[in-house]
Amino acid sequence: MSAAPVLVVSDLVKTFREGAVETPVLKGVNMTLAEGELCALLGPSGSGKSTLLTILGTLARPTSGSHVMLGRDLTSASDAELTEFRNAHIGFVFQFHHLLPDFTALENVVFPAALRDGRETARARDRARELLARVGLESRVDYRATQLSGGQKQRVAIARALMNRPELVLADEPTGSLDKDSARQVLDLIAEISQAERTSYLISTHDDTVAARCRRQVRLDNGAVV
Amino acid sequence: MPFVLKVAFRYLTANKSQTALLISGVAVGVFVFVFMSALIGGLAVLLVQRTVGNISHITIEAPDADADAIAVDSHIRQLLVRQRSSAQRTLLRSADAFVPLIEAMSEVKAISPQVVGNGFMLRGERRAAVSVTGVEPDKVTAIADLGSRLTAGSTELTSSNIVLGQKLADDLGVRVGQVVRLRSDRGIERSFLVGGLFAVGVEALDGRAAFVSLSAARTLFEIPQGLSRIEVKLNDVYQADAIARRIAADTGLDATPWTANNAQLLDGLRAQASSGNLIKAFALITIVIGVASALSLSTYRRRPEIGIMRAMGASRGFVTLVFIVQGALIGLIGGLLGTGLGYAALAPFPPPELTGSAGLPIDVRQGAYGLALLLTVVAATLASILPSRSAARVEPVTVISQ
Ligand SMILES: Nc1ncnc2c1ncn2[C@@H]1O[C@H](COP(=O)(O)OP(=O)(O)OP(=O)(O)O)[C@@H](O)[C@H]1O
Ligand SMILES: [Mg+2]
Repeated sequence: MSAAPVLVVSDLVKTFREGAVETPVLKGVNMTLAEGELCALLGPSGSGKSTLLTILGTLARPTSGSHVMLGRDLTSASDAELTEFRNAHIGFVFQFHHLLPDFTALENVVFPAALRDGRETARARDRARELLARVGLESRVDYRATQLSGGQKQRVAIARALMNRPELVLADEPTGSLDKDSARQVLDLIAEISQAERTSYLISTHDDTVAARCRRQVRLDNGAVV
Repeated sequence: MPFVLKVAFRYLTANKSQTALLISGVAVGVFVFVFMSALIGGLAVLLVQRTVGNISHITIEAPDADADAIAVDSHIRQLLVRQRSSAQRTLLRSADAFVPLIEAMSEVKAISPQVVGNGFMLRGERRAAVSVTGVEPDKVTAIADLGSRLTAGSTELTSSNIVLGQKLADDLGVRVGQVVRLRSDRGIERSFLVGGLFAVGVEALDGRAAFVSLSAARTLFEIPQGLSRIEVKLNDVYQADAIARRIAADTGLDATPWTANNAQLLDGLRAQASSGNLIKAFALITIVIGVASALSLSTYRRRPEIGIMRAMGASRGFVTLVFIVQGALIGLIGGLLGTGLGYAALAPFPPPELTGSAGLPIDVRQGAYGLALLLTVVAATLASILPSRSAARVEPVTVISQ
């Protein structure tokens, strides 16, 4: 791979501790992700895919190991620094859309930019409209999140993930709650957009057809990449 | 519009009925605050007005040298002065020089130079003790507002007529236009034509007071020169202490403010004000508890959404602010509503000075609307601090475990 790595993790360990009970989930994960790479994250249920994605997304901290993204060591960053970092550089698509129910599709998409700018700028709104058009929802721009179907919500979530032009999009079973058709649509969309922008994708999935669409597959088993 | 404000506003409008309920609760608290302010203020106006409306605000008398010499403390001195004054009066000898000076003071509304004394009023077989006040004919109504409390006749004073309390006249069985005899404690007796009767509502006036012209009083009490006292009315009764001190310092005379003889009233007003403040404090506490519990519930219900916002890059400060702004908005809207309703509800009340015995003495001017609004916004904002902090503690990873 000729491109510079977006993400480098080494010896990443995550152990959940609840009182005296320790649950080792990640036992030394090593992996890199190149710019523009579309990568599937596979593994049996309970293997730690979601756990890994939360750490890569700076939503949780690893127990030990190193996590470097865009050349920055994130293990030593403060909470405020991580917040700013993920706003600027990481987009999320979850299994359940996780849209804000009191906001419209457009407002949900604009949200990450508005957080960054402190207000909703006209420019951000334009880009959000553009993104919604790209995911085929130009007619649903002003619908509340609660007025959209599951597949539509997931497409809004993809538009939102791309809003701030992140270098990395983390998707946790993005098609897990969708029927076959919507799943294919969403996947086509991700593939298409990843071609157009130099964004890297890491997509956890149980679905072989999803895995097949990705140029690279990483398999997680027993807390490590195999 | 700042994005924090937009999110806070959206959360408030997301559940309109709940927000409306909360805001009404706040408004009721503010209404109680405004109502109590207006009532306590109005009550004070009424009581002070009832007390000082018809009495002298500052009474200027000659300094009593003997009493001063004997006096050990102020309590004893008052006793001594009182006993002496009925027996042997100390006169303001050079009063004429002071009268124009005091009259010229901007704080002074009216001034009444007087010659006073005691005596008996006789009418056929009946007799009654009277306290006689000799005033300049145009100053009859300067201190006590006899004009508006007249029950018969007029307040016009000539050297031969007299204005009496209604009750005193009833005791004697005398009406306007009839003649009464007055014997002073100097043994001098004169006849007067009853020119007017008044009922002020104060026993000391209605049952015992008689007003005659200054010249008639001089004859009755054998005081050809000088004055017994000068009564002063002020524009602002609450300035009496300060102005009395100034007059005493400037003239060397004794100047006694009304407050010196009405300590109980002032204590009562203070107690009334502090019980009013207690009720107002409880109104504010209710607002704090209401807002805090509503926002706590809201932050709890919105934990997943807060997780989403945090995952998208909302800082803890942003989340904190979203809920504090909600608190402040609730306080502002509820406060405006409460003060507005309060004003609307209180405005129809007549001024407390004119309150009848049955009505509530509400002073719409003393509703403390600005203070109520300010304190409500502050209280609601403070109330949102705890819930907003618990909201800010939501970890972004909770977004996953939904
Ligand atoms: N907060 C937690 N405390 C304790 N254990 C946890 C916690 N979160 C996850 N685990 C454990 O970590 C392991 C991995 O969970 P994770 O959700 O990462 O698996 P996954 O690979 O995403 O599974 P699936 O494919 O079913 O989504 C599980 O055994 C789970 O019980
Ligand atoms: Mg999972």
